[in-house]
Parts: sequence; C-alpha cells; structure tokens
Amino acid sequence: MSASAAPKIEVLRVSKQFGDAAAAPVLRDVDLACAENEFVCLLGRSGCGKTTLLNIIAGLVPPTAGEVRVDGEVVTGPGRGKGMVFQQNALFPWLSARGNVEFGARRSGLDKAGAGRVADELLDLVGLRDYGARYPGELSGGMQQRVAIARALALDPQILLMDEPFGALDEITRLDMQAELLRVWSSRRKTVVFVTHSIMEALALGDRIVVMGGGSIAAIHDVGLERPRSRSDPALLRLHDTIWQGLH
Amino acid sequence: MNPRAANALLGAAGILLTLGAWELVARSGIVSQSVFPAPFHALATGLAKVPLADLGGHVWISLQRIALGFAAGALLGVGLAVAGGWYRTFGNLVRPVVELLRPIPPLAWIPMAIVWFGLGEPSKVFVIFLGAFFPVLTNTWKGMANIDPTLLRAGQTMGLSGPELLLKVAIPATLPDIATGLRIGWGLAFGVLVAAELIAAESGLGYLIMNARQLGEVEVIILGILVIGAANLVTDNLLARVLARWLNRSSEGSLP
Repeated sequence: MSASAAPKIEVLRVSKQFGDAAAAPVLRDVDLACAENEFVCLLGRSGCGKTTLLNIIAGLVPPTAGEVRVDGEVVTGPGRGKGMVFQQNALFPWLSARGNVEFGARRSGLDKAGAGRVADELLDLVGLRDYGARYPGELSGGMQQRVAIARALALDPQILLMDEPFGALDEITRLDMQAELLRVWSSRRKTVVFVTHSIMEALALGDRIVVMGGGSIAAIHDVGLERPRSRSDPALLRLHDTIWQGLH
Repeated sequence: MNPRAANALLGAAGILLTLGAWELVARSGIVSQSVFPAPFHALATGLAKVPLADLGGHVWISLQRIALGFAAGALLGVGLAVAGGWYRTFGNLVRPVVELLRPIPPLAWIPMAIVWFGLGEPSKVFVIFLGAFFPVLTNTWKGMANIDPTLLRAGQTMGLSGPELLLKVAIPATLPDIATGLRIGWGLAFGVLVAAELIAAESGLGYLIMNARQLGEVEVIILGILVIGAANLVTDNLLARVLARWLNRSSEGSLP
C-alpha cells in the first residue's frame, strides 16, 4: 500500500439526523479515509454513531448531508462490492450453512456449479467443512458468524463491513473468532471496516482505530504492531490506556 | 421403545379408552340406545345402512369441495397478504376491508352464497373458501410484518432489492407463518363443511349427516361425524408432513 494511492473508502463531511431537525444529530461532519486492504476499527460506546456510520458506508442508510465514495464513486445504495457481516441472526434460516454461502456466491454472478465450489472453499476456509449441511439453528453462535463471514466473502467484495460481528459471543469464542478473522483476512485481503465497543478487540485487529464519541471522530490511532499481537505487549497496553483516557 | 412409538401407542390407547367408556355408558341403560347408541353397534349399523362404497363416494366429494375451496382460499390469502405486507400503501388500503369482513362467520355468508352462486357446487366451495381464506391471510400477513429486518438488510447487502428481495428473502422468511395459516385454514375448511353441504346438497358427508337426521338414523349421524373427524385427522397429518418437508428446515421438520 503506497502512501500516494487514492483511498478505497472516503467519508466526506457525513452527517446523519433521524427524525426532525430539532433532534440531536447522530453523526456530525464525519471525515474518514480508508486505504485499500486496510483494517479499520470504529470504536465507541453504544449510541456514538459508529453503526450508523457503517450503515451509511454500506449504502443501507442515506446520509443527511455529505457523501461516501468507494473508489471515487458516490455510494447510492447497498451492493455486492461491499460484503457485510451483522451482529447476529442474519443468516437465512431456511438455507443450510452451505446454502447460505452459495446464495452469496450466486449473487456474485457465478453459476450453480461455480457457486457450489466457492461455497465449499469458503466453508473450508472458516473451518466448517463438515458442517455445510447444518441449518443456522443447529449451529453455535460462533459457527453462525463463521458462516456469515463466508457468505460475505462469497460475494467476492472488495470491502468487508462488520457490525460488532463477535459482540453476541462469549469472551472465549470471541477471542478465537478474532484470530480466525485475521487468518481469513490474511488469505483474502479486503478493506475491512469493523465496528466494536471493545478496546481490546480493536487493538487485536485494527491497523487503525477510529475512536468515536457524540457523533464525531474523537481520535484516530495507528496501532503499528505486528500481528498476531500479544495482549500483554507493553506498547499495546499503553495504547489501551491512551484510548481509555481519551474516552473520558 | 423409541419415544415416537410410545407416543403413538399412548394416543391409540386414549382413543380405545374413550370408545370403551362410551360403550359402557351406552350399555348401562342410563341413556336410550336410540339417542346414544354404543359406538361399535352404531358403526356396524351405520355401515349396514350406508355401504362402504357409498360412504367412500361421500368422503370423496366432500374432500374435493374442501380441496377446491381451500386451494382458492390459500392462493388468494397468501397472495393478498404478501402484497399487502410488502407494499405498504396497498396494505393500508386493504387492511380495513379485511378487518371488517374477517369476524363474519363463514356460515353467515350462506344466504349470500346462494343468491350469488345458486344451489350448485360453487356456493358450497365459496363457503369453504371463506373458512380457509382468513386464517391463511392473517397468518401470512403477520409473518410478513414480523420479518427480522436484519434478514432484509443482509439481502440488500447482497445486491437484492424490490421484487427480487421479496421473492428470495421476504417470502422464504414468512414460510413458517404461511404454513401455520395453511394448517389452520385446512381445519376451518373442514369445520364449515357440514354447513356448506346444507346448501341443497345430494352428496357429501354434511349431506349424509343432515339426511340421516331427517330419517332418524342416529347410527348414520355418528358414522358421518366420526368419518369427518378421521378424514380431518388423516389429511391434516398429511398436510403437516408436506409442509414440514417443504419448509426444508431440519430443525423444524423433524421427520424421518
């Protein structure tokens, strides 16, 4: 990634207001640029606007003012170039795990045979080779999120948007999934925007951590540590303290 | 013994116990046999008066009427509810009319049915149609209204919108509610059968029962009632199996 390269995602003076003009804005003049293949974490408390910002980047929610550009083109709606992983319950319960991933692959324009191959590859990649025939209701929360990641990757998107994808998992599974995501990401490079309310999660994953508060960006931190990162690395803990203090 | 077989055995035992108790009460002489005949006697006498071939004919014609009315009710019910649930303006237009008509018992429509369709088959099928239509409509509508928005957003992020999103996400997500509506609708179609066949019918289980009442053949009435119950039980089970397979969700369709 060269410094002169145009950003993959540009958020330009984006504001968002739900309801009438008297209501406090959810987002206020947010500017952000993400480089190609960069892993960016949006960190903040509940209600700070990070999920709204992600939904605007996804094209699911229109901004009240400003615009988002991907590869220089204004985002006008959701689409296949931007895969999304939700917090939970976003798999289609009427399809098997393999069926869900295949669904994504078919949407990327593959025929049935090609989609089946891609589904098998991706289930293998997320460690669920033997669970393709299971239905979402028969999988644990962690497995469901692996399938959701595989389904998003099946679109072959350039951007992966993740909305607290591990937020509903227990702590131990969550740590496993973070390592898993980094492994997957290292084999399928994407520009990732990852929303989380866990400082440690952001530190474990992100190239950059965008700290949000009150509808705008409070601080941006370059992590600059090699992965996999040790949670007891003094540099990481120092950054943890800096972020923590910045949130108060 | 596996639990399924044990449950089936328990169910059979329950039916036999009920029949046994009925037989005992009837034989004890507490009530007159001409009003409340013993079950095995009633079935034997009933079958002597209505040969099996005739009975089969009545069952067949009744099932045809139910199937026709149900099919029409199911198609229109699902169609209207899907359209109303998806296209909000259309839904708001239609909903009050539905709410106005829904509480009217199908039987109250019989005079109207005769005026509109005469005494032939269509009037009977129409009443059965009404019995099936509303439960299918309301359950489907409820399902459409309660689709998890995350599923729709997931579909949108995969590039789906408009009719494609409806067809590939919204309707599949609603299938369990549609299935519930279909089963309730099938039961109600059976429920209004006798009333529907009151309309100048010369065949069908409803006709058989009402005709037997005029002739004072209590045994035939009992036979007819039991056959309606059995036919409903068997067909409802079949429908449940078909729907479970159709739902294709192994967690819910727990069939071998």
